[in-house]
Amino acid sequence: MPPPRRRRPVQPATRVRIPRTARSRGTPADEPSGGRLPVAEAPGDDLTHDDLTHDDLTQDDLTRDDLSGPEEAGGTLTRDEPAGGTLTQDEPAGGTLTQDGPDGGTLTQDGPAGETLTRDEPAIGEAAAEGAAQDKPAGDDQAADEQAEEGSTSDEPAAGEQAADEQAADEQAQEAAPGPSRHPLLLPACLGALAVILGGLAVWFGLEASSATSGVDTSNTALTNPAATRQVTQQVTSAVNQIFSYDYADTAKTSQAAASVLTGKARQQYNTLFQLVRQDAPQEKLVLTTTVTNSGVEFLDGNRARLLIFANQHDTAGTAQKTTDAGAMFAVNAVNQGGRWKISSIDTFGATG
Amino acid sequence: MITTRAFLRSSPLLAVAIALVVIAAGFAGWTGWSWYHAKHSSSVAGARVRDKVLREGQQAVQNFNTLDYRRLDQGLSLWESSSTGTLRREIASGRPQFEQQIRKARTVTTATVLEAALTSLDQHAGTANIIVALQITVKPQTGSPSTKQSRLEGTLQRTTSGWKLSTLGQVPTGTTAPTSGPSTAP
Repeated sequence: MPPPRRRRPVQPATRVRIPRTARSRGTPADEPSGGRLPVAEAPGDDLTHDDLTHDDLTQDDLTRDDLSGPEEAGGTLTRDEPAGGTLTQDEPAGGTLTQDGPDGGTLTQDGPAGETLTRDEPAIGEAAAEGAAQDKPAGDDQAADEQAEEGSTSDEPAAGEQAADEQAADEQAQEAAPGPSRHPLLLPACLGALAVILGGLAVWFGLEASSATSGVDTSNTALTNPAATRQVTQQVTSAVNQIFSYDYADTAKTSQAAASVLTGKARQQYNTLFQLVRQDAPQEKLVLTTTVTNSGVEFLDGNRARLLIFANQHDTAGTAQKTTDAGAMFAVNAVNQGGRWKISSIDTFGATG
Repeated sequence: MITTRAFLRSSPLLAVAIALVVIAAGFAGWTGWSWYHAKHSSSVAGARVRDKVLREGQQAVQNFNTLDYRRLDQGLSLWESSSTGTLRREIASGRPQFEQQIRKARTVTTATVLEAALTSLDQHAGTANIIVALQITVKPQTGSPSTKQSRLEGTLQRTTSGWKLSTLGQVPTGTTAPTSGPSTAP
């Protein structure tokens, strides 16, 4: 039941198969082979007629070409591929002998990976056979293949007969079929399957890799590179201590530090933050000391870093003789310029100072 | 004798198939390597642990600064499950008293992590230090909610069920007496 239904959609197979089978039945030589398989019949038959599916096809083609157009070779070539399809379709039959239905259809379309996979082994065997036959003319390949195939079917006629048939087949094949009929589809099909498998593996590996690194910022070397983390922490801490400390008697020291450790947007931000201190410092005789108490590197990637900083600010107003302590928290972005970490922006979380 | 080239030319399909196999193999090799690297590289492993510790520590600190007097049990259980060692014992022992206070004050405390960072991480010992810039909002039953920013410092310890806080406190400001224990008490 299934086989005929399967074959129908595969156009070339249907076209080639039906006439050949019909013809085979008419040939007496079919009988020993049980009339079961077209392939098995091949050697026993008269070559010029329907011994080889391939020849069959070329014959078919020739007749068709005669009808349709003048270019014989071209026609044969284009049909050749369908013929290859037919051959491969026959193969499961040759191999299993029990049925040529379910699998037969799939091979012609190098479709789903799974099904193609199951084909892999016979295909490799054939490829080997092809390899061995490769130094012969194209027609020989086919003969060799058939030999292999028939070897597995084991219901073929005598070997001598077969050899003779093949020789004749070669001659005819050489004339009619310019290239190997089976290789162009079989080997590529196997390679295609391999490509599909490898592609599947690639996707799987890729998914595994991305899940292994999901939620992990691998470019961030904060803490995973202790030396670099220590360096940026030290330099930024020192920079913060300098620029947020202020002595009304020595304002140059702070502005020099600010000029050397601040860059980009941070300059403007710093000026805004420190404006009040600058204004009031002289009158109040202000001495402000900032000490970073905690600092953590959140992000470190080459020349860029972000740190969260907690600092204590102790200030003494000389005029009032009073001291106050305040805690500050802010985050800074830092960039490494010529081996020196500079603060490029200051984030005070909406608080001032 | 059929040369390889002639063979390929006679079957362009084969050439295409070979090319596909080569491409697929290359792709598989590349992704396979990235998978291997992701699994076995110490820097990736280190980064993974760091991110995990930071994430869990941040969550634990937030848990410790979230409490609704209407769901006290739930809130305090979360505190306990976010802590270990000393901190957990403190909470357990002080729980009845604390519950009473909160019920009386009828406050709802919520917290937002503004930013957090690990200041140290010892993967072998399973300890880490975290600092968190936190914004805490305390909503009394009457009156307007008050928001303050808080500087918190905590010690994290690896347990069988993740990284948990073993100490948590506000970072002292200068001469101010250091505060200890959970910082939620409004």
